[in-house]
Amino acid sequence: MAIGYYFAVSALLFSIGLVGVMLRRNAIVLFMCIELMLNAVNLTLAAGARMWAGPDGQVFVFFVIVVAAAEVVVGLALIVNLYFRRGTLDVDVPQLLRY
Amino acid sequence: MSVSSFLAQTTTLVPPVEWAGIAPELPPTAMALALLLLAVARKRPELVSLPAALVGLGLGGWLITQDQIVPGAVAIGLGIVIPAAVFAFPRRQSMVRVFAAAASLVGALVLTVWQYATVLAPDLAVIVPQEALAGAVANDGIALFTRLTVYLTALLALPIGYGYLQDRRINKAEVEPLLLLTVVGMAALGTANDLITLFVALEVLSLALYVLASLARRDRRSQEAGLKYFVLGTVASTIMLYGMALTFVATGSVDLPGIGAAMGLVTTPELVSVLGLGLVTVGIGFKVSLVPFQFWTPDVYQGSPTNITGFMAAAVKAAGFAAILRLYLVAFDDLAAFWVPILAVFAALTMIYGAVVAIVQHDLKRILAYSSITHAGYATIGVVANSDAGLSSTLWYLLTYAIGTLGAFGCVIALERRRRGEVTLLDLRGLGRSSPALAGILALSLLSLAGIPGTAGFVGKLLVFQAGVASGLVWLVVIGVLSSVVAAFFYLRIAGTMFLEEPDPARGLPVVSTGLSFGVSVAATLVLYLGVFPQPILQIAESAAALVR
Repeated sequence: MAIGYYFAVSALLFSIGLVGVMLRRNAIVLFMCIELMLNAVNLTLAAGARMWAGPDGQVFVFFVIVVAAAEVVVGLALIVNLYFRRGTLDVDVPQLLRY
Repeated sequence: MSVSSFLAQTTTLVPPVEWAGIAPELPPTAMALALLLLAVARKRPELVSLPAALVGLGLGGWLITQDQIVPGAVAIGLGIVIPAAVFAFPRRQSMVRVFAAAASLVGALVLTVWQYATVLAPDLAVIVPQEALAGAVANDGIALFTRLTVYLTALLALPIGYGYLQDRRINKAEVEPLLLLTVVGMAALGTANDLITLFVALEVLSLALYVLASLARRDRRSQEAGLKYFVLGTVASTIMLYGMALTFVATGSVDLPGIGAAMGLVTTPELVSVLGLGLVTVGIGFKVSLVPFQFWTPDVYQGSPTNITGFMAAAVKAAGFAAILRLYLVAFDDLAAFWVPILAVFAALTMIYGAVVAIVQHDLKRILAYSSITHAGYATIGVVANSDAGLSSTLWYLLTYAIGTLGAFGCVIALERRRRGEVTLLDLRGLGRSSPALAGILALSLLSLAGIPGTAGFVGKLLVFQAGVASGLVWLVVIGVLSSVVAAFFYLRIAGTMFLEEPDPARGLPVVSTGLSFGVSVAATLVLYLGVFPQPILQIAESAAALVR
């Protein structure tokens, strides 16, 4: 199968994630969309590594996976704190930082 | 297979690590780990401080026997400082952490200078760029200046923030380790010479900053700032990562010089590489808050604890622009026809937007946030100049901007501590009569940010504008000068409020602790010193234009 399909699928996944981040307001769903974008990048990198037949892209994928795990830790902590203080997961509810 | 033969076989497989190339990052990293362990040990700090002292002394002794006198001395000093601080402040863990963290930052600065003197510029005139860790790390002028700027900023931010954190009861055990990790990420971002290192460094600094921004867990503004910063920041990082992945797909290389070489080939698909360039620009533009990716900046700066805001405003810009300089001048050099006009337009928009919107603000933290947006625009002029002069002027500009911003935020902290709330322009009325020293330092920092002659900021602006004119960007420099005039208005309005109006006795005096007065005094001295005698550091900046390509 041509390698272009992999790039097309990853671009599609990335776009779905980006649109999700822009449209959805639930913190957990936002978070899932970010993870979707990261995994789309991983797919691009893996396909690129296959195309160039070298280890660089695959090494990159491993680093991205580790960073994504670290991001989950920080993000979930912030979201749990948000839920405890406000009782809602909607990121738009109280806007205190205004002019 | 015996252990020794196994070791003999595996050590030949592992490439040698050039420790000198990453030496300045090691003390803060080690200290962050030691401080986290110290927090875990709670009431039995000797369980951590004594082993740490043994490790430091042993490592230092070994280094000295290897003729590495300076790193050895740093290791010994850091080994001693933890038990000494624990002994000196047995009941105040936060004081122990501040002293130990400051000591590790001093160690990092010493190692930066040592590295400059021994490895980078042995004859103290020209910088010879070095690679380390198989090309993943580049030690050159960008790395040197980023390290100096971020370590110095963090070193000043620690004492400035100490009393403030105590007041708000957020002097938790994780503050100093997270600050150290952020600094390490920033310094690594300045040295990163391949996409993997760049991405990991960017995430190390961002993840630690997300936590620091939402440090005041019970304050809803801080919580909102942290969440906003986290969501928008990770999205921006991911967009930038996708750009990096496309760049890799187009060129087949992850190290920046390799990408730069492949970009010049006709076989490289231009569409994919330009797409990669565009996505990288969006991501990094967000991190340094260029218009139109600046919308998060005022909210996050206003909501975060003020000492974190000051550090963030000063240091993240330095690290972000280091990454911009290296990415655009080394990796995307051949695409200059695409990125120079786009970044020039962004720079123009950024300068105008920041200066104009700042005029109608009343909250001092928001004013400084918009001021930081404006300054990102000025620094971008040096990048789009796309020349050696532009590179060195940007590095110098970031240093002067960081010091001036930190001084200003230090004074805001002193004002905030008396009322525990927002600081508006009304709080500044008559400050010049009630506490002249603080008002003087705030005025000096603002004058430096405005670029008044005699301050460090003036030299920075002059150099950046000169580099812009030399590269034929006269229209951009004209916009820069106009925006400086508008910006000077709101900086001077603050100074006028302080010195020309009558003090309001009901508001009380600002709270200035020893650490805060030390920090802002050092910042003010540096602003004056770099403004009056810029030559020594300026010469280093001029020789810093040699890059690993």
